[in-house]
Amino acid sequence: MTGARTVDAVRDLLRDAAATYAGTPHAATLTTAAQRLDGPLRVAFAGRVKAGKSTLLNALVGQRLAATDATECTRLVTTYVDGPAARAWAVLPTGERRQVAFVREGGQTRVDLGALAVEDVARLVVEYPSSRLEHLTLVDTPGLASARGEVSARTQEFLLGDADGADGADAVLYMLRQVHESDVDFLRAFHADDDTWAVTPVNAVGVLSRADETGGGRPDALATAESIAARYRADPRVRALVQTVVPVCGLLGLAAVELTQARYEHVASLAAEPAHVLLSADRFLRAAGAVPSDARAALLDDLGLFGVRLAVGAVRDGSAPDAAALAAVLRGASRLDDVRDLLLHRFVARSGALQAQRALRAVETLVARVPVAGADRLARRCDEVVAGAHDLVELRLLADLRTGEIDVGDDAARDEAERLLGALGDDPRTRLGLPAAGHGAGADEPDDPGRQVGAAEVRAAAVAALRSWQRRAAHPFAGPDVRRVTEVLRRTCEGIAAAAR
Amino acid sequence: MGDVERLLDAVADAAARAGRGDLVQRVHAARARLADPAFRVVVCGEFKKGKSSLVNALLGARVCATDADVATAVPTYVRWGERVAARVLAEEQPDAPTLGDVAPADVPTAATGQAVPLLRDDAPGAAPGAPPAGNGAGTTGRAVEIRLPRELLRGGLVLVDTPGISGGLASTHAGVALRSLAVADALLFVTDAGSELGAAEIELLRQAAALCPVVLVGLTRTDLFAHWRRIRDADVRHLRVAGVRADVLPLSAPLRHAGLRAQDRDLLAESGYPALAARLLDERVRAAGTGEAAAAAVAASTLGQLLTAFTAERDALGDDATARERRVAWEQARARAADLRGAGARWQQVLFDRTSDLASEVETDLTVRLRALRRDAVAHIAELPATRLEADLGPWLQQRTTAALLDHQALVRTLADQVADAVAEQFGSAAWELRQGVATGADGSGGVDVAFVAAPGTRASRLDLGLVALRGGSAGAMISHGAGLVLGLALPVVLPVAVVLSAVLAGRSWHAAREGQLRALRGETERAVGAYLEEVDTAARKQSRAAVRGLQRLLRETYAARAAELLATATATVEQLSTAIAEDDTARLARTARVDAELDRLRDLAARTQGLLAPLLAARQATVPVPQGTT
Repeated sequence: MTGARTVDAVRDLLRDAAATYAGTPHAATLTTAAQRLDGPLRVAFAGRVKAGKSTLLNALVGQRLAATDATECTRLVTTYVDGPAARAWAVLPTGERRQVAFVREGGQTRVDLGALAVEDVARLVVEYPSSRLEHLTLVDTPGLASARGEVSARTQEFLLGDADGADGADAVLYMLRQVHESDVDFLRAFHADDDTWAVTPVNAVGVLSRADETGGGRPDALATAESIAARYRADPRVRALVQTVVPVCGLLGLAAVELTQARYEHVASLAAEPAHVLLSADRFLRAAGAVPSDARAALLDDLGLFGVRLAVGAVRDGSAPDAAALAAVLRGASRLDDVRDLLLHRFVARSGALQAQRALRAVETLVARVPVAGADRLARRCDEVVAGAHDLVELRLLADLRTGEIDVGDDAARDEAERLLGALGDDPRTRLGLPAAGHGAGADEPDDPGRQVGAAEVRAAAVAALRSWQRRAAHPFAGPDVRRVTEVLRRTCEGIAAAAR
Repeated sequence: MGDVERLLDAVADAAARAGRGDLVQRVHAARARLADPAFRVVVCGEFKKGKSSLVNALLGARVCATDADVATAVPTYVRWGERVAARVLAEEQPDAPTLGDVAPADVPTAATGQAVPLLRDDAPGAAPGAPPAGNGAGTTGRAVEIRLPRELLRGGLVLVDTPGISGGLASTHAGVALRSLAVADALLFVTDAGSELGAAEIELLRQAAALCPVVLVGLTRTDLFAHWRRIRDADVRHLRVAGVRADVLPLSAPLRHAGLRAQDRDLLAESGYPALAARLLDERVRAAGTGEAAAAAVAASTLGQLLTAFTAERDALGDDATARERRVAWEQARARAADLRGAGARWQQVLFDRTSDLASEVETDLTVRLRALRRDAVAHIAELPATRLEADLGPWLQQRTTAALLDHQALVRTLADQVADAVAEQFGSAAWELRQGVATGADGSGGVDVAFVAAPGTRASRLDLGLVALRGGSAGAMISHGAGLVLGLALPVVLPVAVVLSAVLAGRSWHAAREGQLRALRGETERAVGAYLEEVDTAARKQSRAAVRGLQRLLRETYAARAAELLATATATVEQLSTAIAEDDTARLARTARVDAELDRLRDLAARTQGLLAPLLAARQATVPVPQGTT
C-alpha cells in the first residue's frame, strides 16, 4: 500500500544506524543493506536433496541455468542475478570475488571453478541477462539432509543467515517431495528466534515438487499431488511454517518452454508405437521405432517417463494436434504458472515491505546484541517506523495469525482476516475476495483504466468488510485478539476504500 | 521329511535303546524347532518409498494398501495358508491373540489403522460387507495377518509390511517398525530410484543392521527413472561408507504386474522381482540350513554321549584290570557331575552374582537416562513458544524417548552377553576337566568330528548353537542374543505422546493467555510429560527386569540340563562298568556282541551326521570346535 514510503523510512533508519555504528564492522553491513533495499527480491530455493530445486529454478527462468543431474548435484549456494552478460563469480570466504568461467555445453550450463576447489569457495554468483531475473534474484541451494553432511551444513548456514546478514533471503520456496520430519525441523529452525533474520510463514511457500512422481508415477499422479498439497495446507504444523503448499512439476514446465517442432514430431511418431514401449524407462530407450535412440534419451531426460506418457497420450487423444498445443498441455500439467503467480502476487507485489521488514529486523537484532551509545534511540525509531508503516504491521499480524499466536476463534474468520491482510495477494480485489478485474497483478494505482468501473464496488466491499469486523469486535464474547485484528483491519479497509475513490 | 529329521529320529531311537530319556527329550526338542520354519522378512523404509507396492508385487496380489496419500499404520503379516484368510491381531507381535477374522478385501483398510467389520464365525469367508459380529463400528487391530496360498510363502516365509518411517526416529511410527525388527530374520529396506539414500535413511539402516542378521535393499520404481543405475551405484557407495553390508536389488512393481498379466517372462525378469523372490528363498534356506546344522549338531552331541558310554563299557568288557581302573575314573567323573548339578556349583554362583550385578546396572542405567530426558523435556518446554507446544513437543518427546530406550536396550543386550559368556566359560571349563578325567587317549567317539559355526541364523538356531558350543568364545553371546529376542526385548508400547498432551492442550484458547496463564500451562504440560515418562519408566523397567530374569532362568535351566545329562552319562557308565566286571565270560561275550552291534550302529549314525553337517557347515566361515565323546 505504502511500499515506497516504508522503504524510504527504513532506508533513513539504516543510514542513521550506520552513522550510530560508525567505526564498527557493522557499519559497512548496514550501508550494504540500505543499498540492497531497492534491489530485486531475493528468493531462495530450499529443500532436501533431489527435491527438484534446480529444475524449478530453471523452469521459472525458462533457461537451463542451474545444472541438474540424477544424483546429488548442486554443491554450492548459487545466486542468479540479472546482468548484462552471462558471467559467473566465485565468492571466497574472505569476501573476495573472483570471476570464473561460465561454460555452456549441450544445452546445459556449468560453472568451471578452474584452479579453485569447491571447499575454497563460499558461494557462487551468476549473472545472466533475463527479464525474469529483473525483479527476482533467485538463489539455488544444495540439498538438506544430504548423505554428505557438509553440503547440508552449507545450506543451513546460508539460509539461516550469518550474523551480519550479508547472505540470507527475503523469501523462501521450500521444496517438499513428501513432508518429512527433517523438513519440518528445518523450517522450524528459521522460526527459532523471532528477532533474527527469520523466515516467517508470510515469506515462505511450500512447493510439493516432482509432482509427476507421486505414488510411483501413476496416471493420476498430478491429481493425487494436489490432494496431498491440500492436506498439508490444512495441517496446523505446516500452516505455521509456510503460507501455502502448491504442487508443481518443474521438469514439465521447462519442457513446455523448450518444446520444438522436431521434438513434437518425435512425440507424434511415438504415439504410433505399441503401449508396452512406455512401460519402463529402460524399454522406452531400447525400443526400435521411428525415433532414434539419442532423441529418446533426450526426451526421457527432459520430460521424465510420466511426461513422455502424458505427451504421447495428449497426441493420441487429439488434444495436442501441434507443438503449441502440446506445450500448453505440458505447461498446464506442470502447474508452473501457479508458482509464478504465487511469486508475483505474494512476494514481488510486496517486495518493498518484505525487504524493509528484513532490514528492520537486522537493526533490531543489532541494537539488542551490540548496545552502543544511541542504540536506545535507534530502537525507538524502529518502533516508530513499524507503527507508521501499515504494511509492516500487516505482515506481522499475518505471521501471528498463521502461527496461532493470535486466535480469532473460528477458521472462516481467520481465513478472511488473512485474505484482507493480503495473504492471497496484495491487490485490493484479491484482498476483498472480489473477482479479478481482468488485469495484471500488483496494479495498485487507482487511475488504472480497468479499475474505474469497479472502484465503487471495491469501496463498498471494503466498507462492508470493515463493518463486519467491527461487529465481530463489539460482540461481548470477543477476545482481545479479535479486537487487535479488527484494529489493524480497520486501517487496511480504510486504506483500500480511500485508494478506490 | 528331510535328511536331518530322519537322522534326529534315528538318534532319538538310539538314545531310547540306551535308556537315556533325557537325551531323547533334547533330540525331540531340536526336532520340534526344525518343524517351525518361520522366516520373517520385515519390509521397512521411509514413508512413501513403495513398501506396500513391493509386498503386493512380490506376491502378485493386492494385499496391502498402496494409496499415494494414506499410509500403512500397523504391521501386516503375510504368511502361507491353504486358502485366503485374514484377521486382526490384538497386539503388534506376530503371535498375538486374534481379535477375529476379517474379509481379505478389508485388509488394506485395516492396515491403515482403521476399524473394519469382523466376519461372523458361522460364515467364514463371507463376502465383504457382511454384517459385522456384535458391534457395528468394527474392530481396530494392532496388527493384521493375512494368509495366502502362494508358493513363495509355503516354506515358512513371512512378509511383514511396516509403517513408513519419516526422517528417522522422530516419527510416531518408528517404534512400530523397530519393534517389528526385533523378531525379524531378514530386513528388506525399501528406497526408490528417484533419489540417493539420505542421511536419515542410512542412519536407520545402520541401526537396523545391528538388530537383524540379513539386510537387503530394494530399489523400487526403476521403471520410472532412466538413471536408476547411477542411483543404485551411489546407494552402494553410501552403504559402503556407512559400513552396512547389504545388496541393492533393483525392482519395478508395474513391470511385475504387466509381466504377470501378459505371462511375459522377459518382463518379469526385468521387474527384478523373480531375483528378489529367489534371494529371499535362498536366505530362508540358508537360515534353515543354520537351523539344520544346529539340529544336526544336537544329534552329534547326543551320539557323542552315547558312544562314550558304550566305548567305556566295551573297554571294560575286554579287560578286567582296565575296567576297574576306568570305573574309578568314572566314579570321580560322576561325583564331579553331581557337584556341577548341585546348587553350590561354581557356575551357579557366577550366574547368581553376575545377574544380580546385571539387574542393578540395568536399573541404574534406565533411571539415569530417563532422568536426563525428563530434565531436557522441562528445559525444552520452557524454551518452546507456547503456540508451538502442542505441535512440536509431541514429536520431540517421542523421538527422544525412542532413542533413550533403544540405547538402554543396547546396553542390556551387551551386559547380558557378558553374563552369559562368563557363565558359559565357568561351566565349560568344569565340564572339560570332567571329560579330561575319563579320557582314554584312544578316540572313543568313532570319528564324529564336529566343527561348526556360529553363523547368524534364525532365532531358534542361535539359541541352540549356543547350547551346543559349550567352550566357544561366543557361546554366551549367542545364548543371550537368542534370549533377548525370544523374550521380546523390544520397545514398550505406551500411549503416543500426542494423546497425552492433547488432554492438556486441546481446546484451550491459550493463544491469548497472559503470562500467568502461560506459566500455568507450561506447568501442566510438564506434569503431563512427567506422567508420560513415568509410564515409560514403568513399562521399560518391567521389560528389562523380565529380560534379566528370563536370561537367568534360561542360563540356569540350560546348564542344569547339561549337568544332568553329564551325570546321567557318568552314572550309566559306572553301572555298566560294574555290571561288566561282575558278569561271567558267557554273559560278557553276549554283552560284547550287543555292545559292538550298538557301537556299529552309532558309528554309522555318526558318519551320517558328519556327512550331513559337512555341506551345511561348508557355507559358513568361523568354526567352533565342539567337544566330542564325553559331553
